[in-house]
Amino acid sequence: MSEVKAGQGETVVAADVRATGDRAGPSPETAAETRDEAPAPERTRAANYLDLWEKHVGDAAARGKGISAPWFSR
Amino acid sequence: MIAERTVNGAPAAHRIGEPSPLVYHLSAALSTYGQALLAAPRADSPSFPWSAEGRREAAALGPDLDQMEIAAEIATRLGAMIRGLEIWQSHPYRRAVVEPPAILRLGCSRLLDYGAAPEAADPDGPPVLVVPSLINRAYVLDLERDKSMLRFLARGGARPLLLDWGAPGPLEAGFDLDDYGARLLVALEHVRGLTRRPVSVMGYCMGGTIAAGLVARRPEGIASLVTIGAPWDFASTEGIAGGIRAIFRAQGTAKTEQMLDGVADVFGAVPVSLFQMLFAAVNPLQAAVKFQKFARLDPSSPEAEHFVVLEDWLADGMPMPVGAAKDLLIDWQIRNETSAGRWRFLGGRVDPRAIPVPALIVYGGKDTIAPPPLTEPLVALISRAHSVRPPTGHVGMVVGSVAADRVWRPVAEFLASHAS
Repeated sequence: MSEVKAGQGETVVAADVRATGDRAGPSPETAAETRDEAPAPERTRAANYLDLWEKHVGDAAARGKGISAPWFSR
Repeated sequence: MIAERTVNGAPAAHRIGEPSPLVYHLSAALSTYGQALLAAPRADSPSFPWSAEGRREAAALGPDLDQMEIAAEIATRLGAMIRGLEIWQSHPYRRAVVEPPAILRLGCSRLLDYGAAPEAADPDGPPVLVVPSLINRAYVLDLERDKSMLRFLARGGARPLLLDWGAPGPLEAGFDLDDYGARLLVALEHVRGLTRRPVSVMGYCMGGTIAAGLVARRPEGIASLVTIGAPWDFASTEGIAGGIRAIFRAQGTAKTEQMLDGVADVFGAVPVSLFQMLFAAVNPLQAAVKFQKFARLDPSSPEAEHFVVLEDWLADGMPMPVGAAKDLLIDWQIRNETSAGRWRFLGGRVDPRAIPVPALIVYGGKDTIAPPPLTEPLVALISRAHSVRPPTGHVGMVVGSVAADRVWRPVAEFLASHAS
């Protein structure tokens, strides 16, 4: 189980069903697990980078940093 | 597929079906993903403003991220966001909860008697006057027949009486929080006259703050107080709402008042869209991320339906009269008059230390709307306060997966043990 944002920063528990084919390439989790064995495809690196960006923005918002894109959090 | 639902034989109301204004949420996502695209060439730089953890993760990605692939991934994600929105908009769920009777009408507000709900164990049970927020609809406390804090309390023998504020009409256009307090007082007197018993008062979100103000100012005949996620000390800027508070503090009281007057001139009241835009300003990717996740769910699954139930409620907010909005955003959020002992309500300053009755302060450990630094101070200020800290967020406290065990049940037990 994981959490789905319910709006206005709130979360409710919901099954996190990551459908294959929703995005091209392996999931970021799979990519992380296999990073040592083979170079990650560029698309997976792009997905991981955007995952990181989304997490940064969400975490900064939850900490109350105001407008929370990395540019504004310096 | 889920069958279309009806209320008393008539189709249930159609959903609003958008985080409002939709164009703002879409453009906020597009803009913020666009920033990610532009920033990519320097993402592994030690001077890039990531958090410490983010910097490590960015370094692990390695240099020379491919911007074409990032652009393609952004397009995929925005597509999934829009697909999630469309799935939500076309979802067959409709809230089909039959409300209990309204025993009092005051302007656009109604007093709903859950002692008359079919679940009620005792129609004449100990009365609990329930005070919801002024921003979101009161029915979050009675979201579904099987997801209803008020029906749970009624099943346990209490008689919840919900003061549903309703969307403000012409009568409420000039209301500030004190006017709403006066209306609450009328409802309290009505309940007293009806039941001839001490009345407990329970408030959720800013309704909890108002409930505390009521009990502090008029404690006569009150049995107990319960607050759930009720902010009191607004000093901290922690949490999503704290981000909004920081924005308003940066603007200052004069500019904020000018902005609210301008909004009122145009719209007549502060529209729901303004509050939703503020939340999106603080986290511009929130709608994108949540609707992408929703798009991956089976639309007929219970998880998807629960998402739809909550999104329908969130989208169905209420405009706020500008006087009440000034009290909320200026007197509370900027000036912190509640904590400073300067909040004037029902004819005098509110001092929670004057609350003589037992109180239960429920505050969510993961609440980002009213996080613990805002809610917990009431525990220390009220001499007979008990507290419960469920591991949930603000909405999760009243409708989440652990709400029944970690909030509803302790509240029911507290109310039963302090009913007279």
